[in-house]
Amino acid sequence: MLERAIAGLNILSSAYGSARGNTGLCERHESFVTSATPACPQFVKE
Amino acid sequence: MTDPAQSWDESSEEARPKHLGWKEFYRKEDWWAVWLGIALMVLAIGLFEAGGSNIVKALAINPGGLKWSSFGQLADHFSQNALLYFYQLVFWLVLFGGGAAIMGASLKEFIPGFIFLYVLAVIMFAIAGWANAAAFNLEAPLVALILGLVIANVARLPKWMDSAFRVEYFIKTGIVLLGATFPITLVLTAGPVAIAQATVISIITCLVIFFVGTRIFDIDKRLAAVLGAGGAVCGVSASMAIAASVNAKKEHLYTSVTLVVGWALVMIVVLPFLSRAMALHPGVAGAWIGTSEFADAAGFAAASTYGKMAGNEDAVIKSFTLMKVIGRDLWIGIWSIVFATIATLVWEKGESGSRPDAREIWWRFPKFVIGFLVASALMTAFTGSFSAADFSGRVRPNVLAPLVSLRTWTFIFCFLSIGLTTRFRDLHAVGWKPFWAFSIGVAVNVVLGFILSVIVFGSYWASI
Repeated sequence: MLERAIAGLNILSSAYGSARGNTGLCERHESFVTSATPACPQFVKE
Repeated sequence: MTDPAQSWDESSEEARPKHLGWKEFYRKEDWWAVWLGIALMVLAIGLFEAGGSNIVKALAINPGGLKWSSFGQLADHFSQNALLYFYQLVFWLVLFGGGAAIMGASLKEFIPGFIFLYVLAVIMFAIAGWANAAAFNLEAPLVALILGLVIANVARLPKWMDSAFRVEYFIKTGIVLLGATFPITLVLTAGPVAIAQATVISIITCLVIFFVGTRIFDIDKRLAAVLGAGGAVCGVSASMAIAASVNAKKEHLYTSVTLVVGWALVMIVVLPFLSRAMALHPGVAGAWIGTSEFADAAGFAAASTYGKMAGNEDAVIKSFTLMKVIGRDLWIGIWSIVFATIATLVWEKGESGSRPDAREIWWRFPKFVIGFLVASALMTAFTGSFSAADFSGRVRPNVLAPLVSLRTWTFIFCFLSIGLTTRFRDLHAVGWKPFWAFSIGVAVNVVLGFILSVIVFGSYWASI
């Protein structure tokens, strides 16, 4: 899914490599997050 | 392919991507490269000990060494060995297809895509095996890349075939196999030199891109950080690793993808021809390519191309591997923590990304390098027990040569896949500010790399 969400990611990289760690994509805010990312401030406000 | 932990339920504060834990051992390409590469090595050694080396030699068949001068010769080779090539196709399908399926690939997509890739690879080897290939600069890595680009952008292959065009999966498996012909003593003696040289260049390049981008062109510092990592460490993989550290946007990674891919493709062509024009020693050129290229796959394409031009692929590959894999790839986790620390402590609150977590050093560590080191240590130990005569007469042709051939197959799969997945129409347009920030960094990187590899440490890299 990440490779389909980001065109060109699979050309010289991979969503299945160790370097990605557990980086994910928040599709609502279109930003990258990991398990260490602080809770979304917009979510807390809502 | 499905990706675990890629989307999450925003209704829960705890809904964040989770680490795979033990699942990483079968859900990450790095580990599959380790399992496949080491298994092939153990198979080659085991069959050698059992007197069955003909099996692995048959599985490693390729027409690259034919030096054919008539189509009749080529046709004879294929007709006499048709069954072996069929077994080899099945062998690769089981090996790569099995791992891909366990990682989440659809075999309905992978199998036809991989058969297509295999046929192209056979054609690449056949071209490489032409007696006049070198005279016309038909180096297999370049031909594979260009053919892939033409097919992807003219013939418009369906996207589902990308399931089989796994650039990183193939190159990582190839790097583990490379360990089998890479003495561990060389890693231990030359590794520190490579690390020191690569670190100096990476830090300077990253700082140039970041400060030129933010101070001169006033681009978003998250974008500048993503571009800095992409240009200085290891391409888009590094950009993605840093992206979460600095809370980068999707569009920032799009910019990095376009610039890294664009410049990487240019370097695959320019670096070998520049090296040839300057008659660089293969070991020196490999070191220079190691700090100038952005991704392992592109770097090996450039290094292999020059190696074939210079008639010494082994030397180029060795110094490239030391500089890029040992000197740069290993440190991605540390770069991620450094950026996370800067974003958290230095940048304004609200813009910071993830908190620094020392475990990132291991989580993001390129595990395929472990396979490379294990393969190197294992083969060094195994071959150390043979006399020079036995090594040349028995071990090299029956163990090392088949492994080199298998590695070459994985490299050709990789180079074809680079071209086949590069659809120019899908790459996002880039503004002139990030373009110039990145390109100035590239220029500094290439020049600094040249100074260190050719002038300062030239005699060292020529002697490894």
